[in-house]
Amino acid sequence: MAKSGAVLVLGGGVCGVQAALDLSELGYYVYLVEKKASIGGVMAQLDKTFPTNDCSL
Amino acid sequence: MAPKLVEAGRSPNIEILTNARLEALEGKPGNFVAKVYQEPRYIDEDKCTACGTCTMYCPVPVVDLYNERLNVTRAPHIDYAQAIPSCFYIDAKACLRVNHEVCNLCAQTCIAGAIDFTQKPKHLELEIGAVVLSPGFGRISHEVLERFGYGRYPDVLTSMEFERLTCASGPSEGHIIRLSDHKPPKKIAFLQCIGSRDETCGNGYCSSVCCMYAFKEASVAKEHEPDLDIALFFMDIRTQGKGFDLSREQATKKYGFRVIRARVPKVDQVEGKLLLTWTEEDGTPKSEFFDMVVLSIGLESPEDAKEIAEIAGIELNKFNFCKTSIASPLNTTRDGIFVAGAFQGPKDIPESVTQASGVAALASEVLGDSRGTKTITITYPEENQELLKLPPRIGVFVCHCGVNIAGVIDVKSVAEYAATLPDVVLSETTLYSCSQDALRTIAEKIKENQLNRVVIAACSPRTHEPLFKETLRSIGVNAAFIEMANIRDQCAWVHSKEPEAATEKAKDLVRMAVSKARLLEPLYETEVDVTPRALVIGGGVSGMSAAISIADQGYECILIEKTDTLGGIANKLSFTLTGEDPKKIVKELVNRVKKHPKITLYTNATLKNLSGYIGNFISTIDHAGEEIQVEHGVTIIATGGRPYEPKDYLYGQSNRVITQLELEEKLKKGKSSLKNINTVVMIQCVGSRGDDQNYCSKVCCMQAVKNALKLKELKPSIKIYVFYRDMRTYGFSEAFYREAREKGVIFLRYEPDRRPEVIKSGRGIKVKAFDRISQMDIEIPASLVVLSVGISPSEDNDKISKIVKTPITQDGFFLEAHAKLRPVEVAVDGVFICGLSHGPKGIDECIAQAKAAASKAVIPLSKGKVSVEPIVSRIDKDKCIGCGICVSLCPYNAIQMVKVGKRRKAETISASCKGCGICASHCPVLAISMGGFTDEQIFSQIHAFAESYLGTQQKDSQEKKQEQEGEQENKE
Amino acid sequence: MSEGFNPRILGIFCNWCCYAAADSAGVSRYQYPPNVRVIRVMCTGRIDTRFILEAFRLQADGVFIGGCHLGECHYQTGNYEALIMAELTRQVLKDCGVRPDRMALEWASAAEGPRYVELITNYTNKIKGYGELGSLEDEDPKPLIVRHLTAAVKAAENMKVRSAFGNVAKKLHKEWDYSPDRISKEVAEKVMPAFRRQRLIEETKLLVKDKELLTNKELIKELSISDEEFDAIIKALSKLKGISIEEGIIKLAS
Repeated sequence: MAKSGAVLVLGGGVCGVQAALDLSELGYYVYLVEKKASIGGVMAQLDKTFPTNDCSL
Repeated sequence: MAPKLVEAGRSPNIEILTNARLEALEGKPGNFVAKVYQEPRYIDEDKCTACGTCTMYCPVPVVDLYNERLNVTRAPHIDYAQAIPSCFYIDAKACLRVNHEVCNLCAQTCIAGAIDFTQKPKHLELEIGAVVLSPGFGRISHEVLERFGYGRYPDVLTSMEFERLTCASGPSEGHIIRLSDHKPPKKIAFLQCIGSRDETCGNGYCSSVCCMYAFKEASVAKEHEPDLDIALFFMDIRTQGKGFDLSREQATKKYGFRVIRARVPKVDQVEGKLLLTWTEEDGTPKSEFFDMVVLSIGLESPEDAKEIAEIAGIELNKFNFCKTSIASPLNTTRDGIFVAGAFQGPKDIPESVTQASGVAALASEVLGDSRGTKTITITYPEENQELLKLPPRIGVFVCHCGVNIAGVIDVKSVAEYAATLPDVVLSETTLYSCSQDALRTIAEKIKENQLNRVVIAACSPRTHEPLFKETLRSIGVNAAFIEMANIRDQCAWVHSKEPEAATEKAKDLVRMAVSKARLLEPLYETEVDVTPRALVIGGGVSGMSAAISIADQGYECILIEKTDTLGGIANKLSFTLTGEDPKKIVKELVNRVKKHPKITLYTNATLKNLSGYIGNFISTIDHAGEEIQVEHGVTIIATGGRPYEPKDYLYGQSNRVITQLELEEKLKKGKSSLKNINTVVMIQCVGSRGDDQNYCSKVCCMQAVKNALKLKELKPSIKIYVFYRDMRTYGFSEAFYREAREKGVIFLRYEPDRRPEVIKSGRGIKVKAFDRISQMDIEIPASLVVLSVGISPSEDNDKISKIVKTPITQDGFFLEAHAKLRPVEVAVDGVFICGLSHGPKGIDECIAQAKAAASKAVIPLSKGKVSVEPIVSRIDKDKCIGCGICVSLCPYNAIQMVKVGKRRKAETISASCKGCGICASHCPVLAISMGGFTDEQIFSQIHAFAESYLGTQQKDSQEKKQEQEGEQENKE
Repeated sequence: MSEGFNPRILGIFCNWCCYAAADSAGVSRYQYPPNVRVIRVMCTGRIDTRFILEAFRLQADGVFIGGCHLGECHYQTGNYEALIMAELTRQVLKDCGVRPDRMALEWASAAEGPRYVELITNYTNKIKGYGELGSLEDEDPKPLIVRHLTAAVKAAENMKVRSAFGNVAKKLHKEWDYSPDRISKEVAEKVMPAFRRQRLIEETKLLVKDKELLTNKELIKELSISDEEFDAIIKALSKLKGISIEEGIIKLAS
């Protein structure tokens, strides 16, 4: 049986989103499964990031 | 991060399933079937315009979880303004309509008709080839927080709550206030290791990120309120990540933080003030009042970790995180299922992002040949050339956006006004320009009226321009022929109490947009072919892992190693903390590299020169004195590192002073190597953290614990002292640190201004040091002193940095493109970094990063083409005087000097250009033009701006230009 | 200043930070004065001194440049380049009789909607306080300012002037020194002399074109220049084909 060209990513935080983006760029269809109503996870709640204090969003 | 979220939201190949959970997973690698259960949002994603009217009218308050329960929202809401999907949703648990079939107010007030209570839960069956688990982390339980007064005293906050307080978009609009009296606190204490390094709550690991974020939050707080007195309570300060240690030190100095070495056992409240009591290092009891206490909460395994493990059929470790190994840090115990991020172990953002890219490579290795079989490629009709020949025919569409714009701005009068502007042949209003039927109508009008420029007066081009561009392309109109006037986000919404002024402003913005639209030129996305081959520089664990991944994903790879042996610094290791054999890891990699048909290996080979750009690099390699030229599309730098060479502590003078690596070599021989060795003293941070090198080498604490345990295993009677500054056994290594202490290894802290000394004593040596607990000088006669030396950057980094033209940090490691979000990319497109070339790290982290680099490298290789954004710079070679100012200012090395006849001329390398326009604004002869942002276009906007008060008498830019040219001729 | 004065303010914002901050202020429905009209560019590094001078030439009362915080530029270094551009613009404005702080250069990140609102509100109020261009005591009257600026826009196109500016940018970039004092010093020493000279030449040309002929005395008075500057201008003008200088009278060549 031919392999499927789709990947399931469980969790849509910064990690899941990055994996989804890279997988889609590599030529795979991605189902990004997130339990909340929006992606972004905890990083979307952060104000700044260490150590550059860049804006997190 | 917002751009990443938007990109994910827009990608036709990423299907975002929100409110969804995995229910079952069957099958085998390549062919899994996943059952996913999805709850309804009750709001139609295609129709919702994110206007917020539903939230305004809903009578049911719910706590705002995005703001950590510090705020209230309503049942229909969006988590935050930039959330993706950019569609509101209804909190089903709170909604009156869902639960009691009453109310329906939101549906009645939604003009877009997006509220849909007929939506039902969905059971989806998805056919997939691989699974990535990235469920993140869970929260420390309330019970643990309660020990520190949380829940009882309102001014005891979690670090996440504090984070929201400091955020401008948070519940207090960025003002740090006490929840008890809404007054700004004067004294704040941060308590570390809440729910971390704490056996009593089952979390015997270090959460790895809390020290870093505590310093961040404290710094942000000080920036808000410079007079704040902030104390931070640590056991060890673990800021081991790249660049973190120095930042911590600078922040501490800059903001005057009080850093206290103590674990505060509990928080009391006395007469409304929070009282902390602790014991100093020397045993002195202390107590102090604070106005606010922030609990630096650790990262717990996800709440549903066990459920996920059961469904996915994977094993967890003893802390309920995903079980992985050093050799395969991103593989779960089930084939075809991979793990990334905090579920693999507590970690920070850059490492999570790195692992995310890494797992993409792993999935791609498994699924290689099915690449492209499920993805959707959007095709567009050919562009209508006739339209280009016509003079500008502009269509203006002024959006009501329901009441969002039309409720403030008189959109009809704006549209009527627009109709009077030059070259405008059609001007209309639309209810919701971005809705599917409005887009269809706009497309029809464009065709009917032969429009070749479109102005949409609506919301922000940042969010909606791609949508309208897409519409233009779908009917054969060049995507560049659109200009937006932002009359919602930057007009109606922000001047809602001044409708007349807002309408005037909207007219001005439309006029400015029309004037630019008249001068819009078609822009074409160009594509550059990619040589489907990678070059990997460095044959250590990182370089080999990257090369194997690229080859396994189906692409040719050239691996060059400067010595005659593969394996690099890992060859010097004999044990790992977890018991895996590093020699075996290296040996397996070497075998695979040597056997892989797609890998060409050159040992004794160095990079001499590199030219070209992403997709088309040409490298010259010195292979044992012979020069070889190779063409490749991408480059990976994996130059590795080397052990720091100690200069002090009698190293080299006494054979009783050795390094940890030398000790490992010795211990390989077993118990016999420890004859006559009864006392071992280890000294940490030799060469690191400001001793000689400015940074923390990240691995030495683990190495010391590892070797201490090995010594104890071989000879339980041996006495071991470890002099350290902070024990940085982050993550699960913490358990081994505890084991070492339990086995009697004595850890003694020293401050950098009172380093231990190694002195000769007769035929032996002893270590003299200041004991912080007894506050006395002590002397320990040692049979062996072991120095934990740091990692130095490869001596080749400087040279390679110059050849590749990508910067290295002050410490000599390669500088990534973005510390958090692009950790394996560099300033030059098509070049990636991994392993010790990027900074000190352990083997597992090197392997994960190598996979990430391989993933990024294969993206252009697998596409076969690199497409170039059309907003790049163009240089008029006739005008160019070859001064080279643009070349030296370009942040991307995207401009090169070429010879045209006998003269030097600048030329844009479109594939590398990002369209910032620094070159254009600095060209002495105005020879550089920016696609979509030409001087003429910007001047026309400025002129249109002035027209509102000067009228139209002023010269338009075309005339002005002709006049200038006339005068140029006059000059010599 | 009178309550009724509504300043005309042009904004030039970078796509990634300040423009995004302005959007985010909208999403949160923060209110601010409706005076600014915004042009979006990808980066503050794209902004040319000419854009700002042109807006003032066209009698804008203020120009507000908004970008990313230093170190957060989407293109790494664009906003550092903008620092130099802004300093040059300020010095030119001063030279043209305009209060330099009618131009503002500020940073706001994408998440800083409230900060943006604060910045733009304060700035608008400041310009309201200043009144119309040319109405401040230390400013020249408006017609004179417009003439100076017309010449300055032309001067800003001059190759030598632009080369001097480009070379300062190149030098500071190489040394990675963007301290305000250093930028100010470099611009004052390396760019301004050429800029001012060229501006005076351009302004003389404008005067000659306008009045057809002009005596040396009139020129010195109109431009309020030193004898030294006068000599330099005459020397430069004498090389131009379109202008003849004879016996203390400057006129258009026949």
